[in-house]
Amino acid sequence: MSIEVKNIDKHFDAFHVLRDVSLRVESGELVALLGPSGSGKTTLLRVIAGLERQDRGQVWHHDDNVSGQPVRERNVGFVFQHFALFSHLDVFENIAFALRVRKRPQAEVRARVDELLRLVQLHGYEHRLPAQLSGGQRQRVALARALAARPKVLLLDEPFSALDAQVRKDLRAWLRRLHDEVRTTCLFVTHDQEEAFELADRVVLFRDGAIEQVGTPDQLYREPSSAFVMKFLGHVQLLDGDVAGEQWRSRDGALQLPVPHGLAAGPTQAALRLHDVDLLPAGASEGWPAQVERLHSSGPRLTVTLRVGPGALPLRVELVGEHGAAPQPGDHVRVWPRQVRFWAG
Amino acid sequence: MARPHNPLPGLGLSLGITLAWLGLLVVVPLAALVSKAAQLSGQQWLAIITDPRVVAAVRLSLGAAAVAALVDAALGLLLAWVLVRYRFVGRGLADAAVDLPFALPTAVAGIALTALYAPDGWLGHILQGYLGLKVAFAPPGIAIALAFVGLPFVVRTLQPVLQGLDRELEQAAVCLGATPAQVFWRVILPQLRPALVTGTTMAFARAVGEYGSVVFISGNLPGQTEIAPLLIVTKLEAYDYVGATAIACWLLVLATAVLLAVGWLQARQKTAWQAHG
Repeated sequence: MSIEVKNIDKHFDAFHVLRDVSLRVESGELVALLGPSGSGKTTLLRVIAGLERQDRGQVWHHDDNVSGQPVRERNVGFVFQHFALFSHLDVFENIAFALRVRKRPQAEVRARVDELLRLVQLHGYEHRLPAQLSGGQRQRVALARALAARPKVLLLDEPFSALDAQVRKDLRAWLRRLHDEVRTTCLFVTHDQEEAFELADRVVLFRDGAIEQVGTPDQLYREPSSAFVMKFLGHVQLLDGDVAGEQWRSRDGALQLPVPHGLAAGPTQAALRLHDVDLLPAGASEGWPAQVERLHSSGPRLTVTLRVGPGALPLRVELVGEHGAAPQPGDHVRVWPRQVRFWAG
Repeated sequence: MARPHNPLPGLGLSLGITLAWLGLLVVVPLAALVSKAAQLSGQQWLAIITDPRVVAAVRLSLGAAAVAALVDAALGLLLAWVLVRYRFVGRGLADAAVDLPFALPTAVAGIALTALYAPDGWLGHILQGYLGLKVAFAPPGIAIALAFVGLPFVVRTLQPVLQGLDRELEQAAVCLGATPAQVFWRVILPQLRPALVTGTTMAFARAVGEYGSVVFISGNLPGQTEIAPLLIVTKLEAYDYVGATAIACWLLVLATAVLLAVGWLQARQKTAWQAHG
């Protein structure tokens, strides 16, 4: 079932949380709503579910305009950030809730709950109370509960944020497999770009209540539409400067880069991906002179913090893979960006 | 012997003070009561508590208290709900007014209620004149007075629990297709049940012993509208101390039995849930 929102506007008192948001999600797609906190992504999810009423605009589920429909009639599966399990009901009854309120016969309830227990790998846990489960298990109960009535769309609000790192990774991979299996149209909210990229078919990046860019993870990475997108995806450093003629010059004037033809003169940011910067020996003929300040290793990735040029501009470089002859703090080197994007501003 | 470490010091001292106060304020008076009643032989005691006038009074007291507690449960839940969930003009005033039955001398409440429900009072006039319902000087009047003094117990035990309810549970239920009534019965009420039972039990316990607000409205006809606490006072005024304490002990036994039964039911429900797992 496809989902479409058209020109949604929403205020919380004076705060304009959604600004003319339009988005179409195709049937069976898994889409991430990504953005910093307060950017409106959760509110959009709640508008689609009907938990918030938009000030303006429409929500369509397939060919139905559900803009004014109460939550109960929309049949969406919603997984809350903190799961919102019914603590007085055991796992079985939590999952069965949607069927119980629809007064389905006991045999059907039992069959459906059994099927879901198997799907979320919680067979044997049906008589546990939520308090007796781990975070990851609760998450899976919440998911099974949301799927019980075969919703048209599954909405997940920061589904992994309440879990610890390892569980989060496992569940992510598991959710992707689950989605490929059940093929329910699925939207999830996250502020973690890694999570969005790993899971989603398409990513919707929010900024201040508006959609900044929509695309596959690859598109967002290769063709970011703004400095904000690039920066939010991470591992990027933005340097302030100005374009004059064929040259970009940093604010302190110490660093220069050639710019593509036709770039307008004026204040411009140069965006460097940390792993797109080459570290050269001090005697190299090209590159900016720099001094190593600090090294920070995280597994296969070595982050080198440098001071560049006479103005000692801080710059970070990431070396991936083998770095046998790693520089030491205090070493003089040269650095040169292989790839730079320029953003007017 | 290693005692489990407690971050708060002075367990021994504080426990001692607690037990001393508990002893002085609760145990000693009750022991005196029992020892006084113990002057009677079993048969004498039985004779007193099976006296038709006593039986009627005890039955009226317990019955009216039970009715009042149930009325308090329903009204208190509604009142607490409105006070917690809605913002309206005068909410603060309404919230403060809930405590009035605690603060008001019970005799004042009794006189006010009597004036209101007496056959020539504002409400009594209407109820009796048009509906033929006798409230003051009849059991309904007693129940009303008892419900008045017990209401704050229910409201004040429910309020913090209602405030702490996770609204997301209700939203989750609605997303799953529950109607407002289903949300209330299946999601909200189960979370409130322990507090509701506690508040109702306290209202009941208070009502069993209530005297001041009832004597004016009850009419005090022996065997018909005479409550047990009044009977005790009557016996005291007649210098029948032993008779008074016998009834008091009987009331104590019955009230304790009810409280224990409620506690047992609640504990059983809790373990029933746990045993599920």
